[in-house]
Amino acid sequence: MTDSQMRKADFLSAIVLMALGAVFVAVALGMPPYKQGWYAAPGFTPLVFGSILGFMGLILFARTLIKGGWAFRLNADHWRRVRDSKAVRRVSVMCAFIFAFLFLFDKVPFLLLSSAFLFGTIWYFKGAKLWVNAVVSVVATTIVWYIFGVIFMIPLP
Amino acid sequence: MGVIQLFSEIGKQAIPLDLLIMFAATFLGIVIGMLPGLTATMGIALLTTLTFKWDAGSAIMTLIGIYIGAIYGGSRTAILLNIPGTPANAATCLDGYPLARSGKGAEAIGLATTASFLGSVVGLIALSFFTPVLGNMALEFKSYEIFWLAVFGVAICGNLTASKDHLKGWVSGIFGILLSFVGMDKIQGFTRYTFGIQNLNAGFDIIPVLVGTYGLVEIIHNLSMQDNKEVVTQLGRVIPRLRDLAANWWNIIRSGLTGVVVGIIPGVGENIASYVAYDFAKRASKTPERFGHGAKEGLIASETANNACVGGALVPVLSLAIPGSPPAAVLLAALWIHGLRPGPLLMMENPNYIYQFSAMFFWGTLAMLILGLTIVKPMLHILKLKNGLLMPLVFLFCTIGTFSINGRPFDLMVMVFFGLLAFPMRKLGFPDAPFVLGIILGPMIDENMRRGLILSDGNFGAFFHSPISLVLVVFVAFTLFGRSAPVMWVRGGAKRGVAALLGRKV
Repeated sequence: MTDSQMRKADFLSAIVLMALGAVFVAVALGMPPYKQGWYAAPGFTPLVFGSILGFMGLILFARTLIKGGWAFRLNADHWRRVRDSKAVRRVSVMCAFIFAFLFLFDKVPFLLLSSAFLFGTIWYFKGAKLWVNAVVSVVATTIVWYIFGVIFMIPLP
Repeated sequence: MGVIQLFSEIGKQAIPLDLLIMFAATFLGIVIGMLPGLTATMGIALLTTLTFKWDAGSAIMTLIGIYIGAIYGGSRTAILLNIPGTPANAATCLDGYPLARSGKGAEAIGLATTASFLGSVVGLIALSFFTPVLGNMALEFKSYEIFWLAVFGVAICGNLTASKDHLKGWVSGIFGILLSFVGMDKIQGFTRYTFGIQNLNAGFDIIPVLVGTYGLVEIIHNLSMQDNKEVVTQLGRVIPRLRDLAANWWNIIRSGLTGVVVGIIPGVGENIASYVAYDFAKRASKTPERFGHGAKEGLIASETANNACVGGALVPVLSLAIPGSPPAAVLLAALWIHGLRPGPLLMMENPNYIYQFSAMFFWGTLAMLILGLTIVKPMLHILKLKNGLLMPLVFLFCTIGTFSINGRPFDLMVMVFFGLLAFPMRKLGFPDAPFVLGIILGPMIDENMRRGLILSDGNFGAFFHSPISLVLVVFVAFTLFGRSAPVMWVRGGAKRGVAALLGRKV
């Protein structure tokens, strides 16, 4: 990321940080008091640290204002670049694989799901030849299953 | 007197079967440490159940081997993949990974192994000869001191990992502290920030957080790039050069002592020790700008400290029956399970046990050195694997490591949540390490801050009364404002004044 891009990103980060700080403070203020004193209430420490986070966001915000980080505009060209980016596509596909794996984790037997996950991801990211991929997927899953499921007796799905 | 007893016990334990057990346990510890998600704590806990029916000597020997091996083993993945195997190795990533990427992977592992060995030796000396004295020192740390120590840990970590923009490091740390408040608070039992999700009542388990923040982010980052990984052909030498070690003699001693002191403080573990030692090394270095880009001093400091911390953490276990770190807590439980009674009466009831225990520690340390230096080259083949093959496998290990802690799929969702949170944070320049350290230390900060205020009836002045607190306050202030313009001006003025007195040019 270039310095100019980072300044713009910092401007947005600062807004998010101030908002997060405000949320933590607002929820902390709604927590019940403690009979011995306000300082022992469960919301006291979150109140302090939420305020610090908001204050740090404010410092970052002021800094980016001075350096001109606010001067940016999102246009169609920007979105087209994101859409056509190979990196974005690869991250999206990996995330899709991960979400599918998590969704099916307690629904499909571990050996089957993990072998299929490994085979699918290694195939998409061109990690190995097809036959190597198949062997690695099955052998790695079996080893993991044996060590954790059999030796350590961890109940796998 | 103590030296003779220690060597006598070392000699007695030099039995082939015992040594075989120690080497096997240390090797298993290294493997556990290497796998992201599996920690020393979990390894000791698992092996406590498996060695339940063994005789006490062999069982404790196995657990000590696991502990030493796991704390060291995490440096492997930290150096080779930029994924710390255990939280104790997070600081090792900072310089170990850049060294590996520059074709010095074997050298980095050799240095880490030797540094871990030397750190363990410092820990061994502390454990053998200073257990009663150091145990009493740990009792001086009460709520106020522990609060400041935890704040110092987060602040220093923020400084170190965001050298260009400290603010972002501190923001990461504060955000981590805030996320650690999710779940039931320890004083009043009130559930905070759970928004009705029952699985969050116990808060975020540190393992899914760690695996998500480091492991998943690294997986996504590596897979987002085209697979044009350079094949590392120059592995470098494994045995470290004597001149590298000689040049770092003071760094090793300082980091070892830092690790021991941090280790004996109850509840503070190897992760803080390695960051504090790393900071000291950076401040003392003539070339601090090289830190984070493959500085051997940084790697040596962090690895010496985390292994010295193991010995330090066992000091209060034996002398006071108070664990100095989470793995030491499990080890303490294992000692009880096997009928041993650590604590103040141990020196009276079984005065030789400290030396027996130290002798086991010695053999574990030696096993770590030998195994560490001999199995380096095969490990380096990991660097030659394509990301498209390696990262899915790493994901599987991360997933199973995370799931095996509590056996609930919710932890996998936490892992993915933190991975997806930490990925943009890293891209935007907010470092991972203070974020994770904030989550680890947040409960300690919360509990000790409020307990301290309850004890003093809301008087904040109590946080500044003891000499230890004052020293820590100065450290925190120096960490936060040490490089601000007014302080730099005062320091510059003082430096010029001293130089003028000595008749030297600045």
